[in-house]
Amino acid sequence: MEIEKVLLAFAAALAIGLSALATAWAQSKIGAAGAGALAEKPELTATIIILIAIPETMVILGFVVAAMILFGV
Amino acid sequence: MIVLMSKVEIAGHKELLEDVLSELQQSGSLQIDPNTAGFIKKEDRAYIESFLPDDKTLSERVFLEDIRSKIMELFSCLPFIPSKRSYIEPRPIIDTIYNNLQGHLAMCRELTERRDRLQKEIDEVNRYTAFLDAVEPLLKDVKETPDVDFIGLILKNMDSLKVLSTFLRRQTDEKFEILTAPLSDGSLAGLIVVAKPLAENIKRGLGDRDIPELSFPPSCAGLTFPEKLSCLRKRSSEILDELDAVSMQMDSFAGKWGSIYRKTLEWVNGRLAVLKAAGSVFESEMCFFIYGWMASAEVNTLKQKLEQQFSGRVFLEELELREEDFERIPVMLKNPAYFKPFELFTKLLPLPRYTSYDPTPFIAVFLPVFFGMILGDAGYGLVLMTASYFLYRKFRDREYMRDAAKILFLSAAYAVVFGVIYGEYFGDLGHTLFGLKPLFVERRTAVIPMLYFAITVGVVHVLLGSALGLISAMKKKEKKHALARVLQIAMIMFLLSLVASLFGLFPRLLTRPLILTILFFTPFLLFTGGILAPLELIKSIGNIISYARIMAIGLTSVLLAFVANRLAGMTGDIVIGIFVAGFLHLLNIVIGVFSPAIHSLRLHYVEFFSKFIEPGGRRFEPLKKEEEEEILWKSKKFF
Amino acid sequence: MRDILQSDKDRGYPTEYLLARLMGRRTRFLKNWDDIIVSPEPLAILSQPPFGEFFARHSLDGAWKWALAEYGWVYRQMNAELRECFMPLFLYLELQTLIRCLRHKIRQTQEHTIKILLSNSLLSNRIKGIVTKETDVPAILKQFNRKIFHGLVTSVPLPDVYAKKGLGGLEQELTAGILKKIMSSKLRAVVRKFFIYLIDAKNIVAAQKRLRWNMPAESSFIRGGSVRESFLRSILRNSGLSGLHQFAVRKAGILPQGESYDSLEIILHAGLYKQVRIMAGDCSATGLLLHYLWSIYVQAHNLSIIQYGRGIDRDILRRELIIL
Repeated sequence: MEIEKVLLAFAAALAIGLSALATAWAQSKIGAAGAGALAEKPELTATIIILIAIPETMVILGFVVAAMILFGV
Repeated sequence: MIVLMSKVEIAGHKELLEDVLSELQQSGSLQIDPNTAGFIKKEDRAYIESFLPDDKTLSERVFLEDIRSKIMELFSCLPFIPSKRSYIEPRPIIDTIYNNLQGHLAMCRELTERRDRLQKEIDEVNRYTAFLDAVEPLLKDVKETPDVDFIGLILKNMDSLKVLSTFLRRQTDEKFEILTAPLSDGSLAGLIVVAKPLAENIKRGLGDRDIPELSFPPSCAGLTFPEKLSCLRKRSSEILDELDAVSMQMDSFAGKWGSIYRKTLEWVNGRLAVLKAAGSVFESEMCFFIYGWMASAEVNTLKQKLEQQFSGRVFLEELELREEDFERIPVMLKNPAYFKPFELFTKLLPLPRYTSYDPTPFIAVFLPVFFGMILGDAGYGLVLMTASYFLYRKFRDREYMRDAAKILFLSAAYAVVFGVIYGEYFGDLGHTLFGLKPLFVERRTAVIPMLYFAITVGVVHVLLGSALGLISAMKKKEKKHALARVLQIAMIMFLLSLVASLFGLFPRLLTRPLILTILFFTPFLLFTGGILAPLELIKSIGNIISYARIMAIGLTSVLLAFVANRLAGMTGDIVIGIFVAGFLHLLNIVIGVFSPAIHSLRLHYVEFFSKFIEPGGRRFEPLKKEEEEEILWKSKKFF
Repeated sequence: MRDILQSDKDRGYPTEYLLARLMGRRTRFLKNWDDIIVSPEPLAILSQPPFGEFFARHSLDGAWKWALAEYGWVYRQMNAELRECFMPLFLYLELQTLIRCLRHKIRQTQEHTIKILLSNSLLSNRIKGIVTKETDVPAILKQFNRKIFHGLVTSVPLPDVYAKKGLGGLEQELTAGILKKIMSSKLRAVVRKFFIYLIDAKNIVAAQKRLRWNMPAESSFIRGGSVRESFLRSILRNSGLSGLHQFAVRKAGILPQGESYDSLEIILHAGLYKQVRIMAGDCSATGLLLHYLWSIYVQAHNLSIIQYGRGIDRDILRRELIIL
């Protein structure tokens, strides 16, 4: 029983951790490119905020999955 | 909201054209369209052609442009001295102004040149004096004799000193002395003392090694170092006096003439705008025609004004809007006072098309609610409301900050409302101290119910967006597109019901019929929306799940507040406890302003607006007078 | 080889940042050369931004001044890895700056132009110092031979090369030497491909010149390209200039504008530009950067043609432009 709990926690940690890493990686790339584009065309501010925000969905999905694992939905 | 626009034609006798254009500029309500497509009837095309300016107009334009560039140059030389608005009417005396302007420009150029020259000289003198100041104490021990030469130089650091010493040792057979003293910027002032015959060789060697010798201005030649120093000091104070005199002269000139030239520039700009607008006008043998766009609400006012002013010799007629016009109608946004501050966020987006929606009202309605849902703490909300009040008071004259303060106030108010619903007052402080209970749900423990809540908000929001997209497709009579929208909305509902029944929220029995329905409708979706339609559907589902952030970010905020109170309790000392809790709550409030705001905005920009707002509108830019403020702002860039 | 260029300790920016900026900056490049050349006043583009400031007051070599400023900008934004990767290209380009400076030095009246060229250039301070300080070309070359290019590019001392063959010969020798050196170093695939094509183009043009002007068959063939020397010789032997021309057209993959053999160099240049564009198609950072850097070169070439082609027949000018 205990080992099952540990495994569940581990799975949840993986779900959120990996997706967070993926989001971070994607955002670092988009962020750098966004900063470059912004330096050339400041009118793109909103587009770039949107582009940077897009990968965040990954970590939110990871969080949802982790929550589902932990709370046993 | 996007203002309703009308397509208009103004016609009149040719000789009235200039007066009409000035009148239009005064009213500032018409955007002239240089493109006749859709304005002139086919059968009339042969008689109407582009208005050609005569030689007089052309030479006036050249003259005015010359004045403008000269005034701009003048402003770029001068300091900005705020002065009273001038009431001189430039039109009758423009020739006099022009003559004066040439003299003034020459004078200002000369003053600027002199100032630059003096500035350069003072920089040099300062460099020398810094060097001499540093080496002065060294010189006390050295006597200046005719057979000894001094070479002054500036070294980067100790390393270059070492390199130099090796070089000198080799060149002079150890017959040299080098004195150094640190300068304020970390480099070294160095003085090489060496017998005259060797000096030439060394100087050349230094040149090869990129160590420039410090050569003094010719006015100080032949003086001893202490004499040089006093000579340079004297020169320095002379230069400073001269600089003062120059800038005083400039100030007094700017104070005396600045306002007159600003007024002239304002008039010249206005006049040039009218002349430029004349290039977008059309003519027949006797008449001129102006085509353009204006807000429907203002058509009648302008019509009456023109008729009165020109005693019926100029007509304004509203033309019929056709379907192909919709792409070209310029877009003007106008919102009621409650929505207006939120235009701050709309400005970040590209302008919507005329047939689409103004995003402002949607942001204004939903953004504060989402913010409140995420932050959801009555205590924090009250703190932020107070902060926004002070922000508003402090930056009353700055539009951006004023709007931001208003938005913050509204959002914080919703945070209070949701705080009461969640029972959060600085985290669980309200509960511990006063026993305040949540009205509906406690976020910290009810993670899954909150997740359902957030997703439900997402479903409603995304479906609303899709429905608006459906309406705009119907308005444009794009039947296939509209059908695809309907199917998409239906499919989202089916899919969600399927998920709900799989998770036991709906009866299990529904699962099979739902799957069958989805399979049945899929080909229709492909047929109406193309191959990418299923992808679009999956994107919509992703968009809905994305709303889970409302709960996720809210949860972190609650937990941080909870931890703050716990830590304070653990200190066991009331003063330290208050300090610790205060600090952590403050941190949480700061995070609580940015994080919920950015995520709520993102939910609008990415998830919501992508469903129904079409970007790519043309901004409404009427012919109007430039205000003096705008001119000031433009010319300020040069100061 | 490293002391020819400036060593910059600055760390530069992430590759994605730089690429995004280049995408933005690229929009300022001129593309519609055909329209420009037939417009009533082609020189008007030279006074527009971003070129205006370079052509304005000291108009000599304005195009190259602009190019150098742009190269310097890109170089300073690059991170260490990218700088290392594109070092050979910068080296090749800066060699041209050096030759330009020497040419102005011979005329002896263009100290100001030299100053501006050098201030934008990426050449090391040592080289800049020598060029500004020495007054005549042999003295400069003597210094170069002793301090920088010693044994690096050619076995014959540089002043001797200059005395014997003049500046043109010197340029050829230096270019050949640098290219040989570049090809023997470790290169990224994209950069290597670029230089192979460049060397081929240079060899073909040299072969054409040799035949046309009946120059002695002294070997100025640069090794490292994909076309063998013997192959070029056999083309020339069997079908002469027209055969060479056909071969160049096939290699470039570009339809020639006119039949004149003069434009061989331009055809090959256009072919190189096309290759670079194809290499940028895979969207790798090196491909895109190479495309940007070489586009600067092409822009500068076309701009200078327009600048110096005042009063020349438009059709002839058109044939001198590198257009895809």
